[in-house]
Amino acid sequence: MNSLESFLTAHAVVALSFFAVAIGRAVALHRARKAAQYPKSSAIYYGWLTAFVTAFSAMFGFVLMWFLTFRNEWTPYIPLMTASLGFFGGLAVIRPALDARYYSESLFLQFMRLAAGLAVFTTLAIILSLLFETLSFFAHDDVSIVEFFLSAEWGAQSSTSYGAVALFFGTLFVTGIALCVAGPIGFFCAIYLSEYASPLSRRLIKPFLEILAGVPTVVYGFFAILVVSPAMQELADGISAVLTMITGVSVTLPNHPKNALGAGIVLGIMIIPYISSLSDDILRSVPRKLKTASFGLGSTTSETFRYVIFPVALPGLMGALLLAVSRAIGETMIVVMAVGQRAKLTLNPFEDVTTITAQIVSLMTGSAGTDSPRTLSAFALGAVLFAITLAFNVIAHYVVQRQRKYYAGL
Amino acid sequence: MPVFERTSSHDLRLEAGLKARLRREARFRAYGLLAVSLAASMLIMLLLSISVKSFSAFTEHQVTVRLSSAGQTTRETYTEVRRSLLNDLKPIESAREVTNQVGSLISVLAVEHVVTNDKRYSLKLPLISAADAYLKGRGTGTFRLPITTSDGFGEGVAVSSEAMTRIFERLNLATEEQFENGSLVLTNQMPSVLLFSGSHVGQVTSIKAERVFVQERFEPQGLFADKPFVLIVERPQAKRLLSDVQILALEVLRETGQIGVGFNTSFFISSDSTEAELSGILAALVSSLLIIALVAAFAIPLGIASALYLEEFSQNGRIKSIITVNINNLAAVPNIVYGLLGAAILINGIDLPIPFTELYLRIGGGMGRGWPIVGGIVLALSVLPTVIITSRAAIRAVPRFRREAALALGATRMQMVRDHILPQSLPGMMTGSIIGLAQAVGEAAPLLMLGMFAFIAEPPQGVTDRASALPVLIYQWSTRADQAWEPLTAAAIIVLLLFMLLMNAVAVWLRVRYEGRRV
Repeated sequence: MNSLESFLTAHAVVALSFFAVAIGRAVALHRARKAAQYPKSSAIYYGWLTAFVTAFSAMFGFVLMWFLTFRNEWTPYIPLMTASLGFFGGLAVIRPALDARYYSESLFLQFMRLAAGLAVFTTLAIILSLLFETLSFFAHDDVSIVEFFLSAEWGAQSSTSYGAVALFFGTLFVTGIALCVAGPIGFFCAIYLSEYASPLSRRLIKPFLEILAGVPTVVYGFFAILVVSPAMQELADGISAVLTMITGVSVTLPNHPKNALGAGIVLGIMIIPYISSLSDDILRSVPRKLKTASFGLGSTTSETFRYVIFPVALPGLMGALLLAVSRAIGETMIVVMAVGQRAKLTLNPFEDVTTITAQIVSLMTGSAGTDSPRTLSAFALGAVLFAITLAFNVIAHYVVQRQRKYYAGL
Repeated sequence: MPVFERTSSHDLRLEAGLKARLRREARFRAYGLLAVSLAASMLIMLLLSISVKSFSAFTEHQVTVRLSSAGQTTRETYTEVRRSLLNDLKPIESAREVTNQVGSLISVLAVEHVVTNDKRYSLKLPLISAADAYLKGRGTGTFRLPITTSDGFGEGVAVSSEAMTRIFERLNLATEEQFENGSLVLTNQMPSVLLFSGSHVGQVTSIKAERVFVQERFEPQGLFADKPFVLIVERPQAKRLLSDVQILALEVLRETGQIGVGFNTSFFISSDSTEAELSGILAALVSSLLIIALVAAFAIPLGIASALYLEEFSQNGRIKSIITVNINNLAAVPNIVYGLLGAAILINGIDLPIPFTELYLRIGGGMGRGWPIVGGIVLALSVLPTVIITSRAAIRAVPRFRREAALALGATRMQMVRDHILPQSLPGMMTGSIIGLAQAVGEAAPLLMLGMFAFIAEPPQGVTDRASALPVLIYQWSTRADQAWEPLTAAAIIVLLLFMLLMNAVAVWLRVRYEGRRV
């Protein structure tokens, strides 16, 4: 598709629809005058009708152009042709007896239905594209599903082994570290906000946490490589020195400038607002009767929380945690920048590991062709990622719903 | 039984228990406050560290060069520049090594745009990033030692003994070590010692007794006569970016006043380059603006239309709940999956095999890698759930009586929506959409999938011209090995954050301005 041609086509279509409003209205008034009849609807609706018919025909033309299996030099102009057909056809239909308002409103309603259906369409498209490319991936000779899910040999860059276990482990490892940071801080932030903070403090603290959520993840990634990972590396050196002193044997903790701890900590910082604002909502949705009853019996706030609120809110808090985990698993830029590309299984947080998302990025930005197993493996990994995050989200949603329903009566 | 049974032990137990409980309560509250302050301090540390890192990117050192004539081509102008520099520096011997090293203090690309300008014979050219870093004092391990010299009898330069001891300190040597024949020879693998005095400007090659022997490089021009000093660079020349000759030249030029500090305009008016001192964010910024405009054009109308349909026109049935569930799920899908969707369908295309035949139905494909339109569509899809959810909330906030009043006066549903609900909920919708767009500005992951990671040296001319984006540029710059890119990356981050702050401020302003207008 030539740039200039598609540019002109798009603008021509938009201009046509725009002028169709005025032209349709003028035509309607003209024909009504000629027939000495009042038009059934307000004149402007004939204009809208023409405009909608034109726009719909243009959209139909775009879709047609996309599905066309053969292309020649007229292809970029197809939407323009269909739009013009629609335009003149719409004008031809205008007569005073036509209830233009009814038809134009129905047409717009159909457009709105299509727009709402776009969400379902997007989900289907994601599933279709990922499934298709994953099947192509597994159809290759040197790839097997068993190896993918059970083997830890990921040499997708150099050799042909495609065992993704090391990637799964890396993802879990980094996410685990992130949860260790974000869990306590996020939950206690939520507790403080819902139980202790005055309305003024709430108004100050909540936006602050929202800023944490709004910072782009590339910024977090840069912060990780600038400050956190080198600090963690020095920490590892410090630990090595201490261990050497204690044991008398020269011990060096293997470490790497791009370590899992750095990425995990920064990922945790990014997750804090997710946990804290969701948990805050859940804690505040606990029925007041329970709280006041507990206070009435003489409990302190912490006791109320520990014995009354927390058990009630627990399913919801678990749901919040699951949502945060799914967000952390799907996070890309922080891990791409702060974590290495070495796929290996290790329990040492100071070493470099790699995650699913980091591998997807490195595979897609590599120089392999679009049909090679290497690039297709990115889609397989993406399919796994999509499935995991979808499952987590569905479970979290279900858990939160159940908690809400159970305590709705109180 | 008496109502009040107060035995002292009971009292004491009660009070002790109370004290423990109150302590626990205070501790618990302290944990909460600690968590909030930790989160706040992490955010502040993040912003502060990046801001501080970015400061040095906004200034650059420039050298003023006087040309006797401007060349016709870049090569000619560059040769002229080199000649002028050497004229000012007056090297002792015109060895090729010296001229090349001095010349490479300015990169050829810096001279490029000069050729097309009208002839200006006094130019301010940026120095290469290594020189800039050195002059900004970022070269760790350089020490100046003021000394007193005398060219007495014998060879070499006499240096006072206390200066000599300090030199040896810096060289990490005991005074008598590594001496063969009683003289210390400085090699490429050892720290460099450079001498600047009224009569000598050069590298110290050996030290014997109280005298140093200098390989003179440039004519002193009387510059350092009243404040001679010795410069010790700890990192050996073999492991450095700047050679001894280059450091000598820079110090001489600094002393003649030809080196000045200027504002790094190339950061804002030029695009990515191989040289750190010449690169800027222009192409990425323009691309980002273009992509955001496309996202707004796609996502906002579709999102508002969907929200209106779901809230006003659809009945509470299976279809509506399916759509709602889908939207909620899509809001939580990782962004990278949207990028994969775009790559699979828009760029590669899918060939669906038609069953029972040999034919394929080709869906999509045909779009190029790195096109803004593809990025716009993909990001619009990822922002759409957010727009729909916030718009639905805004529509729900319109009070019922407005709907009922409009319908009672004979409006059709569509007219009611268009004339009553839409105007009143539009500010809320726009606020939510702008916040969603602000998040889309910072997205790099989907764009990386769509091929926007290449080296883009020009802003895109249209929606089908290769483009980049500001977050992608930040990612690229952060992966470049040279340390000179770090302040630039930080500066680009500051620009991105300011841009997002601006968008959020607009959203908040909208909300504040229109919130009071409710009837």
